[in-house]
Amino acid sequence: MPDIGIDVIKRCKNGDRQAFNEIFTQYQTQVVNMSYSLLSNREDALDAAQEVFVRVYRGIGGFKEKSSFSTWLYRITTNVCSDFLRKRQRSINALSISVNADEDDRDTDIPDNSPTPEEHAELNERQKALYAALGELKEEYRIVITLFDIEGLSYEEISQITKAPIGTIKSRLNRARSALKKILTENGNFLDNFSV
Amino acid sequence: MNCDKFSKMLDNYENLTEDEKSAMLAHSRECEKCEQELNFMLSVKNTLRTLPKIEVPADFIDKLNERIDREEAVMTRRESFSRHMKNNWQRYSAFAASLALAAVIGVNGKSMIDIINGSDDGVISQTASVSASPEDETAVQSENAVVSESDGASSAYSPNVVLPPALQNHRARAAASESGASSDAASAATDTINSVEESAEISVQTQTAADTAAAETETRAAEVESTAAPQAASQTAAPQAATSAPDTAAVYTAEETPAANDGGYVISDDAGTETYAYVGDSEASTKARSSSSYSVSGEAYSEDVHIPIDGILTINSSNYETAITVIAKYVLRVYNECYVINGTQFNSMLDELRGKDVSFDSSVIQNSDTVSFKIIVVK
Repeated sequence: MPDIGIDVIKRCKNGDRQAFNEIFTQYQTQVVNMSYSLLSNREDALDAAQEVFVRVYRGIGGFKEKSSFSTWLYRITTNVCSDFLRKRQRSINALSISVNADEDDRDTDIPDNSPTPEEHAELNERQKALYAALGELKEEYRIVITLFDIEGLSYEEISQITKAPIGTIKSRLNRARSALKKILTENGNFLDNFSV
Repeated sequence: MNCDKFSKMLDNYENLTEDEKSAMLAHSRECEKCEQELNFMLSVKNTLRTLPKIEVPADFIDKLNERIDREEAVMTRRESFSRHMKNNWQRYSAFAASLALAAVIGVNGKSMIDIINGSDDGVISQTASVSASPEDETAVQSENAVVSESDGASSAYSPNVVLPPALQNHRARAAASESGASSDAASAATDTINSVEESAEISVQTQTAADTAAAETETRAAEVESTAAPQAASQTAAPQAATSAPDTAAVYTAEETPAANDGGYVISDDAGTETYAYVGDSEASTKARSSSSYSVSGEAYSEDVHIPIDGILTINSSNYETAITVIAKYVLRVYNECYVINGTQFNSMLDELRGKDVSFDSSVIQNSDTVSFKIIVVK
């Protein structure tokens, strides 16, 4: 998707609400779905996406145009979703739910935040299994898998978004895939669903 | 290719050349385990890329705009307050500075004339009544020396002060050395007041501000009174450059009076019993300094509306805008340029000011649920 034009950004900085609406329209699907991949919950994804755009509205004056607008937007998206994940974790901790999980690779949050049956009735088994497994990944693994494998961003773009070195991104991606495979295997989905 | 190498290449699959991928494929045909690994990785990648997108509700942008409108309404109230202060602080500062100067001249005029003429007897006849709280006796004693220099003939607020013996001697030496030469009298008064100021440990402005304020003071002095007293007052006030922190603000109540022989002093106020907050000094001498070293934000204390304040927040003018933005977030109300915030939030506000590298000095004492303070902008 081509990046938003500089003139639109300038108009936004001048407080042109219509220019903001152009940004919202162009990026809403991407932001909502990226949030969904990270949060595995539709309502949370919509709330997070709204928060992302509110932060864009408030913070457009601070966008220095050193990176592309989409990089800046994705950075805000991952930060907002990270906040949501931490808030979710805190609420789970407050309920004193104990989890039996490999803490190195997996997030300790339960209950299940994967898509509800109503939300994903049309998904095949493979897709459902993957969403569930994504929901169990640690935050940093979830982010890199989402940005690389789902959104198709490059190592460089992910490095700019997450402000981590490219080498870190690569090794994190490898570990994320290993963790994903481990989860899918433990859930019995390895051979049945993920054979070519 | 062996299985170890295959595994390493699989981790770096996106960066492989076509030849390397072909080599991996060839190995996978011969090794069932590696074939499963490769198929799994390709399948996961493919599934991730083709995950269906969820549909964005049709009213998503409308709801987003509604939220932005709501938040803007809240921000407008805070920003209008902040904007008002930003736009008017110079006007308020100039007005307050001129009132402060008038008070300084009024308070100091008589004593300066007495010093110059050598006719002062160490007793300042005043009409205000404020007395020190017991825990502030040290401040009282140091302020005593300062207050003694701040008497004035005509002022809306003029305390009665009895000088301690040390200061009386000091004043006597100053008076003896003045044998009519106005310049000698001015320098002696300067020495007197400077030594007193050092003992009071008042936090004052840098030389730059003092120079600027001194120039302003000299201009205004001619408008207020035409005696040598205001000129001496401006000259003596200008050089002060002590940078030590102010004493803890002393809150005086009319009912409390220092013991007779403790070197303290009694200030009586014709206006009746009131509670005032000081920055380690009497209000009169604080105003004396304010005319020369810093500008006072906001209006002078109004006799008609009595607002007890818990202290003064001194802010550097270079940080003023940032500081006001922070303060605006915490302010409950503003009354006659006295800012009121929740007592439990005051330290949070100071932390936030520090976090934003705002230079400030706080002499505010938190005694109750709310904290009231005035702002002094220092140049």
